[in-house]
Amino acid sequence: MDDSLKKLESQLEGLVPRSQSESGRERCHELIDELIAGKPSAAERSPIGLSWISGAAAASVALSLGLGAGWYLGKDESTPSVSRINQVEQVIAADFDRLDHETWMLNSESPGVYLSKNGEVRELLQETEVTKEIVKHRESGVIITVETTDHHVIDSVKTDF
Amino acid sequence: MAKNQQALGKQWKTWLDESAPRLLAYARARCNNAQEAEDLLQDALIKLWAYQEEREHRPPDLPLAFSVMRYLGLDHGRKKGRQEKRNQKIIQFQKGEDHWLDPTMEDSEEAEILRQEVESLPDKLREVLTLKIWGGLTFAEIGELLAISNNTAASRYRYALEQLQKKLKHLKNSLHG
Repeated sequence: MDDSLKKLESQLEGLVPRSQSESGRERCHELIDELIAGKPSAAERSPIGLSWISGAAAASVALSLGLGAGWYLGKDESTPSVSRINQVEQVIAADFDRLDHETWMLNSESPGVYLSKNGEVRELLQETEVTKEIVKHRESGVIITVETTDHHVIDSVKTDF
Repeated sequence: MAKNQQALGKQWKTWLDESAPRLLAYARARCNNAQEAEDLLQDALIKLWAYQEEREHRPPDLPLAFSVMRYLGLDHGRKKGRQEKRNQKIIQFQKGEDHWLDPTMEDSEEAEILRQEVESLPDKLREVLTLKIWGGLTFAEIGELLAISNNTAASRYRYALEQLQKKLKHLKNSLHG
């Protein structure tokens, strides 16, 4: 990484993420007290009503494949971790060996220019991230190239005309 | 017993006060506003508390906390509808308010521009940048969290920096002739 990028990195580190609001902090502290006191209402409370483990598409995939993602099926009682949470993807990936992997970005397409409500001239750019993976199916030995593209939309103020 | 509970409560509250700004900065990429991000954090606390049962309910490591925030955020995004979220996000940027990096802490024009440009980075690039700069995670931890290789995490990070650098240069040239 060259010096100018390192300088930019330092500038970014100088930007401070916004703190929790006072009311949010109070709610979280109350919640911690309730969890520690073992109040069942605390564990059931969900401000956005999520049921991510049971509802996660990834979990459904693991179950339908019948590959025994132990943590989701409750067979493994050990402590969850980041790798446990990603276990479903690993179960699928376990059938393949990754031979090669590459990611690159394609240049922007012609921007779409528009006038925002507050009078700014803005432009919408499209960028494409391409990921190419070459994998080998362990059982059959078949080699597959998987290419995925992600399209990023960038909305920014137009400064040159 | 009550003493232990008090000590544990203090540990969690200290952990939260230290980690909340980082976790909220990350959550903001997946939420429409600050309130939703705070709700997500509250939900994550409940999950993390349950996860840490086998570790005597000690406060969690940051990578695990980010991982839980990510999955909650994905679930939240799915429920809200991606299109709706994208539209609202664009409106939010246009309004020029409700930022997730604290504008009151900035003391220069360049910092202000930088904050705006970070917020308008593509999601995937901003996610890696946020986790690296403000989350303090390594590329290995980011790779594990996002289920991508370390190299992909590193190249997204580098690309984010390059894109910011390009935009800053361009803006500075325009502003100062």
